[in-house]
Amino acid sequence: VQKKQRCIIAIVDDDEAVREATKSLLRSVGFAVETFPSGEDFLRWPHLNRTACLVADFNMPGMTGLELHLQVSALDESIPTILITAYPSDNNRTRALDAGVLNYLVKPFSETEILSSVRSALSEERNSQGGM
Amino acid sequence: VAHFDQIRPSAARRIAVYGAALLTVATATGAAVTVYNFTRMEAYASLLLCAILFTAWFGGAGPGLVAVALSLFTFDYFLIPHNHGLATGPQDILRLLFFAVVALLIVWIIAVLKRTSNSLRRAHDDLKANVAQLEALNRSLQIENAERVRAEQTIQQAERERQVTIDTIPAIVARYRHDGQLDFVNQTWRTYTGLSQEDMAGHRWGHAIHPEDLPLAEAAWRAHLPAGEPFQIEHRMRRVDGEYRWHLVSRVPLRDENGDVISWYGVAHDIQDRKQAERALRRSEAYLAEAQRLSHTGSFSWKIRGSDDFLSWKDRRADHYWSKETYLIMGVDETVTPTIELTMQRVHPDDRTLVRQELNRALQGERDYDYEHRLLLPDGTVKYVHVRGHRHEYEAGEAELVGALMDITAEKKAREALQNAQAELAHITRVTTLGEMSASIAHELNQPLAAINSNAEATLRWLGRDLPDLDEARAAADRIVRNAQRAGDVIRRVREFAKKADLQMTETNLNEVVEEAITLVDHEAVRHGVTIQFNLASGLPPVRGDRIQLQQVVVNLAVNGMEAMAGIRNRQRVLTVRTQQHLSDRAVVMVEDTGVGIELDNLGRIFNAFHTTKPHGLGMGLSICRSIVEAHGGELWASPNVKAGMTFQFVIPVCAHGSGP
Repeated sequence: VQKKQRCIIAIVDDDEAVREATKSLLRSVGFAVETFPSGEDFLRWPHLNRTACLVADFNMPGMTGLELHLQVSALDESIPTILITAYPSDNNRTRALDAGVLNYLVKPFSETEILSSVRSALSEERNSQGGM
Repeated sequence: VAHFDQIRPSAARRIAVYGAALLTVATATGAAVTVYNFTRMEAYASLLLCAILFTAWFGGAGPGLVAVALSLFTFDYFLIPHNHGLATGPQDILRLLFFAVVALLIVWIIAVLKRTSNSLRRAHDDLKANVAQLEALNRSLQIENAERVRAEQTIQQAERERQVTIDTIPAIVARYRHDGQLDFVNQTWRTYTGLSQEDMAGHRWGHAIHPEDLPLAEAAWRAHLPAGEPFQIEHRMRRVDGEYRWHLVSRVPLRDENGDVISWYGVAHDIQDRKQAERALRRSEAYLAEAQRLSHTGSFSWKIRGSDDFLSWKDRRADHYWSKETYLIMGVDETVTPTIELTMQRVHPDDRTLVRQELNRALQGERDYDYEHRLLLPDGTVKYVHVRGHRHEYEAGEAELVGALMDITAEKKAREALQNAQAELAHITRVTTLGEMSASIAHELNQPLAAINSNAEATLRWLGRDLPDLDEARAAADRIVRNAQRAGDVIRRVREFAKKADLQMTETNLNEVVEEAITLVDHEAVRHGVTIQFNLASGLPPVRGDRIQLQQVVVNLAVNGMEAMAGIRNRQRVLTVRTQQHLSDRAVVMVEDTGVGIELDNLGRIFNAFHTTKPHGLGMGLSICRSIVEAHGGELWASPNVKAGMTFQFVIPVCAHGSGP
């Protein structure tokens, strides 16, 4: 049941354009996608346990993508997270990877980067589910 | 009878006189006869002699002789010898002769007496007449003498009055002989110089004239004495206290009926004050001319009548005055008579309408006028002039436009150079700001680019499906277009912000300026964890300003505010941007942060150039911002907030006709 439930890719970005574009791209390859304008909105979503992958913007007003990842991890929701940013820095990348973020993508990212990252996340998520 | 003796006897009188002689003799005879008849006394001789005496006395010698003859007859007839006949005897004849001799003697004596009496009477009458004449003459002389005395008194009185008048009049008066020698001075002269009338005899009067001026005074005399024409001369006179004061001396000749000069009169007026005023005026004029030369400021005046319009004055040679500097500024030779037409010829063609309007305003009663325009000189030189004038009203409907014309070409060029330098500096600081915000700008561009990229890939995938999903593809394509526009907007804003352009003052919506500026720093806020709040006044009237430079001010204030909040951990980092209308003619923009604030010691220096609290700052940001705001006729200042942080605000005038968007 759990495998079936974790099939949604959640996109959290305060920028609607990026949100919608990423959603369209992922949907075009067959993923089920939900979008949220902020980390707070995502955390309030009642179907967190159906999230197979979290794609979050690193820099958002209020809760940042990294903070969101940490909070999700703290909820014991083992959701692979991909952080995307239009304002990259080595420091942030290191912080993100150290915090267990699966990937740190820089906008504008290519189709290959995002899809491979998502697929990698789903694979990791499946491995994680299978290990349980 | 006596009366008759005094005039030539007429025939009637002679008859009467001789008749009287006859009557007298007859009466004496009758009386003697009567006396004899009654008394027998012979009184013939005595009575007849009385008759003869009476007749001779009153009738004269002729009637007396007649009376003698008649008495001889009567005496002979009636008395000798009483027989009433004529005497014939010798005794009788002797008696008769004796009677006759006595009678003739009486007549002669009487005649002599009478003649003597008449002579005496005539002499008396003559004397009396002479006395009367002398008395009349005396009276005439007395009258004449009295009149002469009165005339002399009158003359003396007039002379006294003249003397008093001459002495009293508040002018120095002197009289000179025909040859120019001083012979009289009035009391004022004497009092003024301290010299006496006696001093006039010698040449001591020369002490009254300044030694340097004496030769000039004497030369003037020599020049004008022969012609005898009035003349004036200015020289210094020595006052009794030793001070020499300038006097204007007027000398006028007094001529006799032949036209010969008999004397000269001179009047001296103290013109020391006038001289000093003239010197002061000349000095003042010299200073004014020098000041005008140094300040490139000319003066002018224009006398006008009524409130005509410009056109009616254009060709008139009204009473114009230009100072020397005005001629220089206008590039006109000083020999040329200034006219309004000449003025208009020198005005730059593009500014003539403005100048006409200003002149018409002044002509139609506007009291003050102040404007700038350009001159175009015949050699092609363009000058900028600042005209300030005032309309001064006189009586009788006359007025005069008085003003100053300042050549501000150098100032204008310096101002333009300064503006260019400021614009250059503003541009440099904008570019610097953009450099500092490059990461944020990259973010602003990367967001739409990322969206475009993802949407494009998605589109291809929606179309590449076995059954293409055209709706999804179209939706993705639409998003591509929107995000391309968004990226274009970012690039446009950055490019405009970085553009090096001259100051362009246009009607500008201040709220739009604020929104665009904040868009540029939007990601900076995210990066600094700052929340931006807007409180923009609706209906804010447009301002006249340069949109980019105003954006620069807002960007600078916003970035400063965000940086001030970078270290804040214990409270929210909020940047509040407000616009408000201030009074009726101004708009204010406030940028309020919740940062660390500014120490009071630094508050007075934050707008100084090169003052900075940032490790890598130039210290030009706020200085440029203040210059920009002041160039817009506004003010920029900072004040600490009550709770935390600072508020930077600037106020600038709104457009006069602005009624809000």
